Amino acid sequence: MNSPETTLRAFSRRLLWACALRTALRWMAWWCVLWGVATMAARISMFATPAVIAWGLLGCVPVALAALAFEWRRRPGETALRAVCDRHNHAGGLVMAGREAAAAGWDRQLPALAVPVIRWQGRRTLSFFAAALLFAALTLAIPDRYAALGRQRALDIGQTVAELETQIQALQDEKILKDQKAAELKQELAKLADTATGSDPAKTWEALDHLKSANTDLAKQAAEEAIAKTAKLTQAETLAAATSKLPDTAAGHEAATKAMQELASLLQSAKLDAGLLGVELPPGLLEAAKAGGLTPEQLKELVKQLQASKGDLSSSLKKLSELKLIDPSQLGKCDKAGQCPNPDGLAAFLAENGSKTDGLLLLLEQYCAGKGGVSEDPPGNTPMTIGDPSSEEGAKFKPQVLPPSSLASLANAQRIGLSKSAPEVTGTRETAQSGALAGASAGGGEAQVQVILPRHKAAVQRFFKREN
Amino acid sequence: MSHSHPPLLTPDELRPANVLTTRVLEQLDTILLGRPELHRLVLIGILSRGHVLLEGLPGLGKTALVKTIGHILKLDFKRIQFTPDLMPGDVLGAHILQETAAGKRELVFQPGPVFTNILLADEINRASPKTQSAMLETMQEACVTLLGTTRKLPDPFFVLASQNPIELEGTYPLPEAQLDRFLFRLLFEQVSVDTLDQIISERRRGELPAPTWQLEHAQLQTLFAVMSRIFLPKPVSRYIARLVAGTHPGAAEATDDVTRYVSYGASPRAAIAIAEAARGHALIAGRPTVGFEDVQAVAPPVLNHRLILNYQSRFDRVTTTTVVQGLLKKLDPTGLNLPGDLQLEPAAA
Repeated sequence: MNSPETTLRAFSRRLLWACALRTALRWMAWWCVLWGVATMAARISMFATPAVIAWGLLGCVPVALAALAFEWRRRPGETALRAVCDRHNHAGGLVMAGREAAAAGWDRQLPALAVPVIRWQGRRTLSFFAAALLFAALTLAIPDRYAALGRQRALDIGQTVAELETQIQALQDEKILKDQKAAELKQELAKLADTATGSDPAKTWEALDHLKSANTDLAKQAAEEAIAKTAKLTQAETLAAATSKLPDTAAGHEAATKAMQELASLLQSAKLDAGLLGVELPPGLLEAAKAGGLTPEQLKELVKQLQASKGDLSSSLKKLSELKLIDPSQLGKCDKAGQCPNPDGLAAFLAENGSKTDGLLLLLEQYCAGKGGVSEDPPGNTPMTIGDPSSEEGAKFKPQVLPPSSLASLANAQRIGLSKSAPEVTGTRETAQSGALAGASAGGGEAQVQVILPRHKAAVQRFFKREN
Repeated sequence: MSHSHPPLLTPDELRPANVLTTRVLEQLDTILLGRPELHRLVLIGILSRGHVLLEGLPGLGKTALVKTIGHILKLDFKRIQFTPDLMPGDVLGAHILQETAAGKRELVFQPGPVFTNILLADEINRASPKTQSAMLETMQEACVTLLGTTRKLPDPFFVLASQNPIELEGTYPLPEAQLDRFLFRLLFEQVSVDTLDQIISERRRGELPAPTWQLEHAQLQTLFAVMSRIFLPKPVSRYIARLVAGTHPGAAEATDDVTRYVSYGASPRAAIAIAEAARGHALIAGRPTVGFEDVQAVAPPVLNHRLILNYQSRFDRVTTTTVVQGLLKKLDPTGLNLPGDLQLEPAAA
């Protein structure tokens, strides 16, 4: 018998290599699968180029080394190796006993020990490894145009988002949009910009349209308010200018006091500080106007303030118009509303009528709103004359045919005889179909007869007990 | 290399014992035809100082085998035919009132047939449980206790019992405790046509020839001494332990058959029995150490009467032998537990 130690060492070495090869192939196959998946992900996300990714194949080397170390750690001990050699050499326990007891004299009794043959049925492992390697190679070799199919295409909405951001900022600057709401909108806009994908653009565009529409609506509302406020400011400016031109007489003073009170009433009812574009006037001037005690200097100051407020509103609308938030025609309307008519006519009217100018605000509204007349001058420069009310004489009205009376049929009635007693009511009496006499029979001299249900009785009684 | 155990038997020490066993087997094979493997197992049972339960149909030579063994080993041999009315006293012996020379009367112990070297308990399952239980102490302790006095049985003491697997009416199946005390349960199969022809041709009226050689008592003791020096290596004892543990359903290495059909697995006594029987097998093979093949040779007869199968096994016609063979086939003796796709084969010659 040859030395068991030599056989055991050889067997141990072969077993280790077989196990290490088997484990290494399995682990490398898994590595290839993982690497292939990572390659796919990297190529789709354009994280790395194929040339860079190919270096990952070198990962098989440490994996193989790790498998070798793993199998080295779990290699069988000498006792187990002796048991295997004993069994496969039919040594009947002599090889096993060699470790625990001296077996003198038995060496010659046994045949030479042979290293057991290790058979590895590695078809499945090899197939798995080959498939994993092929998969990894395919993921690397796949053309870029196919890899790009898997990418999630970004949607280019940068310009739109920038425009919307500018609009929101402008609305915020003009205090049309509150700071908190503006911040929320900006956050929503940023989120949209991040999540916008080409695979589902409709959702993104819909959200952007919604934001745009909200901005436009808000701006439009602000523009309409600005136009209305500008008109009021113009009226106030005209009245203030006309008041300052009143003669320094008692009647003039009386008319001025009345005009100042009307001016205060106008400014108060206009609610200039409310709404989206607030206008603030010095409260001292308003109080003085209410009392009718504005000095000529204060009147000039008031006119100046009103003009400045109109200018602010106009510049705000101009800014909104530049950002395409409002229609340019609205800017035109605002400018038109801000054109102050000649206050001399109004001053003459006030001086002439003094304190008897009831409905001054209505008059002022009409005075500022329209400048009728056709002339060679540019439109609007001709002063509007306020005279007597026009006559309705000669005016033509459209004739309207009234529905025929339901009793018209009586005209065709025929006398069939005279009776001494009251006429006998027949069943074919003519009955009014509409009006207050609806339901009343003709010829009977009776009023409307209506059946009142018991539950309506109290209501009817209450009706007739009314004082008026 | 330092060794933790005494040196193995040398070839010179082992060879005489091996020669003796070979001669015993030759005698047996010459006298009883056609069952060399069975003779080998019976001899292993005797060398292991174990009791053997022989099971087979009538006329297959159970009693003849036991008688022949007794003649060859030159041991005292007695036979008890178990019947339902057999009492423990008929087996163990009884105290009889006798008058002494001095005229006094005293109880004198009259030994039963159990006081012998080889006891043939014929058709043991026909005796009542009370009588079967009387055998428990004798089989395990090799002694008899009556009226507080314990008497040792002659050394060696073997029980070779037989039972008939048919004609079960009026029988009492052996309790598990008693079955566990039998080292082997050996099944007598029908002999081949050639053997039958040989028996008819060479044996007039089936009479057995007398042995030409007998084993002396001292030689038997030598065999027992050599048996005790047969070395059981650590991997083999581990294999025996795993094998016995694997007979229990729910064990880590239990086979599907064990899980499905076995109610109770083998006891630690079975593991001891396998180890002892494997030593005997190694001695007969002429080796000073026990190998895996020795264990695999003796495991079926040791385990086949120690597994308790459930009813499902009856429906599926699964026997204990099938279960044990499946376990032996599945269990890797070396405990190397290589992956399934790695297999070891003996080196080509």
